[in-house]
Amino acid sequence: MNELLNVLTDALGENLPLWIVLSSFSVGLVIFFVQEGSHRLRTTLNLLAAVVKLLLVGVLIWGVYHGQVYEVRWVIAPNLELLLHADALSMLFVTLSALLWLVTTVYAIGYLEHSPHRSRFFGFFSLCVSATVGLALAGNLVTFVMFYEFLTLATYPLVAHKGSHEARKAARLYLAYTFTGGLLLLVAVVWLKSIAGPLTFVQGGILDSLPAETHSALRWIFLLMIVGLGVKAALVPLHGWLPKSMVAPAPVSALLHAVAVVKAGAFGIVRVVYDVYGVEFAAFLGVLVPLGVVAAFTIVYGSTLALFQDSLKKRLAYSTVSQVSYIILGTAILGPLATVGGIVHLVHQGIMKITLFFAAGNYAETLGIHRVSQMNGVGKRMPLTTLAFTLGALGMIGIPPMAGFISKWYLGLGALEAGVLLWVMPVLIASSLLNAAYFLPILYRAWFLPADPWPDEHIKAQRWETHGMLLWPPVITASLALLAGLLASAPFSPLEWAQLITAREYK
Amino acid sequence: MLQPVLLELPFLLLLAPLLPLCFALVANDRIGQWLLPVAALPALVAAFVLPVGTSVALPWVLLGVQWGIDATGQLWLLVTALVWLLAGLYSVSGTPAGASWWRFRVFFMLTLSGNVLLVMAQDMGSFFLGFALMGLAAYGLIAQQASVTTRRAGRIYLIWTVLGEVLLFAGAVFTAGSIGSVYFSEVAGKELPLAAVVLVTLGLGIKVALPGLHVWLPIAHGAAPPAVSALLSGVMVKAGILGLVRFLPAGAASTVWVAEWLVWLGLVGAFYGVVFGLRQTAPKVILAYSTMSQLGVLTLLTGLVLQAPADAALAMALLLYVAHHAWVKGALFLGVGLFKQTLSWWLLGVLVALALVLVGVPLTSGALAKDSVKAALPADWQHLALGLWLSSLATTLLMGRFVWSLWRYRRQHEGASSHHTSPSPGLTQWLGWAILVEWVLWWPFLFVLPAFKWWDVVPILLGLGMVALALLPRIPAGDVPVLVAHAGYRGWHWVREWWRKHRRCLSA
Repeated sequence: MNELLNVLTDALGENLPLWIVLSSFSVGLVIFFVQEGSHRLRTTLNLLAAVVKLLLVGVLIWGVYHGQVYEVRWVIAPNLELLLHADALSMLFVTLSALLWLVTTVYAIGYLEHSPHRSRFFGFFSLCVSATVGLALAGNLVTFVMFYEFLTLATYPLVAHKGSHEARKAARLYLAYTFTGGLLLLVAVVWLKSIAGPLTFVQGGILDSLPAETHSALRWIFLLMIVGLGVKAALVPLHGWLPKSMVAPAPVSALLHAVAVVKAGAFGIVRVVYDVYGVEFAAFLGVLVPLGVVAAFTIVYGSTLALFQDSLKKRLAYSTVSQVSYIILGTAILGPLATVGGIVHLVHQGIMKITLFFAAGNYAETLGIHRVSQMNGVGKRMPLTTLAFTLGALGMIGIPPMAGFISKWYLGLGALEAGVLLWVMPVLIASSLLNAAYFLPILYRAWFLPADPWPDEHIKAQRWETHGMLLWPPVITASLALLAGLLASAPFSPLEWAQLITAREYK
Repeated sequence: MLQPVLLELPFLLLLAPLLPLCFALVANDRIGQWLLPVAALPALVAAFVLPVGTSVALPWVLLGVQWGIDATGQLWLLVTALVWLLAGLYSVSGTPAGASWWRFRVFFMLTLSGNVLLVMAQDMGSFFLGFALMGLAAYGLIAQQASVTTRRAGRIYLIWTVLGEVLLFAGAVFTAGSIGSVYFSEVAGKELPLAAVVLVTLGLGIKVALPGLHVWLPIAHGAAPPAVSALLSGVMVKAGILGLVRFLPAGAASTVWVAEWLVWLGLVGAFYGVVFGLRQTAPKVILAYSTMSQLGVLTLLTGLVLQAPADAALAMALLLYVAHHAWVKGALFLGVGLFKQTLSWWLLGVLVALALVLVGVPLTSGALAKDSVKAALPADWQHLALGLWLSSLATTLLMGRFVWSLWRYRRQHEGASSHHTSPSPGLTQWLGWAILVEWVLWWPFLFVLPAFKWWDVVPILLGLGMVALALLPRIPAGDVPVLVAHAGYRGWHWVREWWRKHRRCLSA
């Protein structure tokens, strides 16, 4: 086994990050040209690419673990180079994306079984993941921005996929928001580059040696960057596109909320704060406190609006607005424990939220349930899906042993360590209570109320409650969310990985 | 070969909380119903066979977990497991069959698992896990029957429970962050910020129904099935007491400050429960208010324990009081369930006896618990003896009200018994209850019973007298002479009738 891995590592060499990006990119391009009817070919390609990518990521982890350095450089112009590079933080995000991509691909194949334009869909789907992996592996800010823009473009057709008036409108709104955000980010990067030179991500930051007269410019650049990234991360008031883009098919929403778009924004903020500015320098500039306040406001605001949504997916969307800001809150609090909480939530929120979206998609696809008020008694008809949903929801509230508990625990500890418990803890408390207020009534309906007739039952219950390819993805991700919390202190858990990253971020 | 493995100690520690979780998966009704009592067996066995100090560490789980049995935990586990076992036995035949039967069992098992876990937890992570699991899953038990009342009760219970859990979470984070460890063994001797102590106290205070945070308690008890009320009152609410003892470093300045408040709040709660309980009519709600009042006494004791870290007598008194109340209140609730099904007079008699045990007449666990409390009162809190004395009187009054409410219930329902639909109780219901009653009457004799003192009995007699006064029939104006004349007239009338009837026989 070890020899095999050695051979593989040698064969793939330093270019492994590039292969990881290309594995889905090339397949995506091929899929565009697959005939609409050749279901089997497309499915094989999709799954093959997803599995190959996951294996490559496995090799990457193994290599990094054994001290191998992976760097792919491509000098476009003097002083401008693209850089792919694997550090601890990118490994976390790449692993998450590759893993969830495989699960989502299986789910999407089951979900879109009889719908039109599948080749177009899966093509862009693969491009979207390539972009996500690319920005995860980006080794400098320029590369990051490139993949970030690419992600915007690759996602647009997915949001508009259904082609209805509403879908096109939502997609246009999405594009308007994210394009403006991208533009601001670009401006900020060019400005920063003119001050600081090459913007390679370095753990601990690169800007703290700049002279004091640049500091006010650095503050403005930080603001621009946060606005640019905050659009995707759905920071209030830049979140308007997210609930609207709920018209996209469930697998898209799942990926959008768990790893791709929203997470890309959050990941970008983490990168900027830790590996460009350096968290201690950012705190010195005084930019972390406003960021924290915005994150805290977003947490409470998102949860409050989620209370009033009857549409299940919209409720989940507002929940995302709130939950993603935990990551940003953790980033904005100076101190290793809060950093652990923020970074680990990058993973935890992903697996919990994807579970919820898979389950919501199952309800829609199997029984035609789109609204919370239609969910009465659904627990008896679809027990495994509802169990997965329940675990995800309890995790969002922060109840042990689910993953969300671990995130909140570390955020709380971090706030205490940084001496800001006074305003962070009320936010955590309020958010937990609000989460309980909008998730527990759903669980009550699903498990305790007698069933009404289903709005539109597409798939009859046979051996399982729904199509197998729809059923197993949420069950798997719910188990992951449970394991990530239950075995949080085990080796190679997300928590341990986050602690490793954190140890390197503080100088 | 197998025997040593089974007897290996940590194995039992793991089995006690995890076996119920496995049992929750059993969908078959006929097997599942018998698993209800069986599920608590490992915990009971663990309480008996495992020596104090046994523990098992699971460093990979949550934030690093340690389960074990210490001196407090052993007796606590015994109390908990016994009530769960007998309430489970009671529920084998005591719950309506149907589609929701499995649901009841699932929630029963989850709640049991959480309760056992929190007793054995030696770290904050698993205590909180057990506390949250028990609190949330108990919703499914309370909202067992689908009706407007239970739905409302369930909702109120859930809101308060979630609030308590969130506050405890905040307190736990604060505590763990301040002492730099999640293990309870590290808590002793440390100093905590006041805010941490207050948060923990408020979070757990909802469970122990501190006055003002008690709203859910009588409402939930009124709606829940008898076995669930027995569990809720007997063991679940006491998780709050255990949590206070576990989380707060006894003797630390901030703890002492809060503990003094706890003493006074407990005292207020002891009377608050009685005052409002006296105006209730439903037997189970009256018992619930009695629980609130007894929890007041327990809170008071906890407040004292937290001020005196090394006072073994006080700690023992707290444990005895917990055991006394858990078992007798469990027996009372189960008995009310049986009484409502049968309306029999002798059952009413047993309930009166149990009520007297709760009040603390001599030769009962109540007398034992109260005497040990009084003996253990610290020197500067001696004046609390008067409060406890008055609380005995108050409890007697409340129990009088309880017996009156049973009598009233019987009178209201006996006429309707022909079309009364409640089925006659099943065998396991009788068995579960009977064992508990036997145990309640018997266990105090394991200890040295206190010597008879008039001073202790006076409040009870006084209370009984007042109850008797309240329950006396209307007395005509002119009172005793008129009554005597009335009795004389009645007697003369009766003699005359008798004479008229039997004259013929006698003369013949």
